[in-house]
Amino acid sequence: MAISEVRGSSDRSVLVLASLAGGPKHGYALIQDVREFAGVRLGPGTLYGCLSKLEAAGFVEALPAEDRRHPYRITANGVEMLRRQLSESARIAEIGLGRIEGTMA
Amino acid sequence: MSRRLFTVVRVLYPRAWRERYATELSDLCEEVVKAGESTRVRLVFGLAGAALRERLRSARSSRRLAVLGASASAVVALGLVAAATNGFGMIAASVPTTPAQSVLLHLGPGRAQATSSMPEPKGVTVMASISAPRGIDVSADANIVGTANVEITTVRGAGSALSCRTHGSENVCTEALEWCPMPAASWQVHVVKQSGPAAEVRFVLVVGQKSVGL
Repeated sequence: MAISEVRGSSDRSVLVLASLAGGPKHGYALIQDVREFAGVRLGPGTLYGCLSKLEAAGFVEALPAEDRRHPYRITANGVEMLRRQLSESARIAEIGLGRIEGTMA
Repeated sequence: MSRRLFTVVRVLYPRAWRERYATELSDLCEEVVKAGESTRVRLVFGLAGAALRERLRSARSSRRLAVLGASASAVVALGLVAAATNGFGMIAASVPTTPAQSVLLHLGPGRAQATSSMPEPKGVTVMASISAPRGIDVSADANIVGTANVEITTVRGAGSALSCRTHGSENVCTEALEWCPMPAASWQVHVVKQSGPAAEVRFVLVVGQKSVGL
């Protein structure tokens, strides 16, 4: 799977990766965490669509099930991917905010 | 979510995906319902939409020319799910009853764009479609400012349309939406044509009645 395919649904994938950057989580904990830090409500189908793509790309990996919960963790490649995505977003945000301030001045 | 219902829904997913994730997804759905964070009806349609996207992605990545076939079978299966869940007495209140709203926009020759508005009642967004004469690619963006946004295009490979088919002299692309609850509002519709002769383009948005528990 190409990275570009993950980027194609990047917002949700980045949210999932950002959540897992804080430590391994199972699906329900991921939904709760993303809702808390991003205000985005992921449905189970959407979440697993993201997880399957991220796992195929090697950005997350499954951990052994705990009872009926299935935790995932971010991989080193996933951390690097997340770092690049967030850095790019921050760069664009910085430029945009700078231009807004320039316009308002 | 009952095992029986989940069994019906999960056949929509590609087999490989199903074998890897269906058990986990089922367990998560049960947990979400048990926590009172969603309804079974909402989950069924959320999963059906996600399954269709997986089928399309699977068909694209394997480079098989089975996209339409897969989509068609998935849509048929979706119909079966709807029928089945209705049989379970679960979604009688969630069948869309609001007539589809549409706008017809006239675009001049060459690169052209047009804007219109569509008053829509409160409800859940179910489906969008765009129609244009064959050979003319157009894209539409409909939104409630600051609240919602729907994009659809006839450009092959550029969007996530569920299906694009030819009806007579027109191409019609349809996309299933995620049943997100929306307020009554005037949707702003913006359509762009990159090139070609003047054309009339129709954009359709289907808003359903709010489901019980949504």
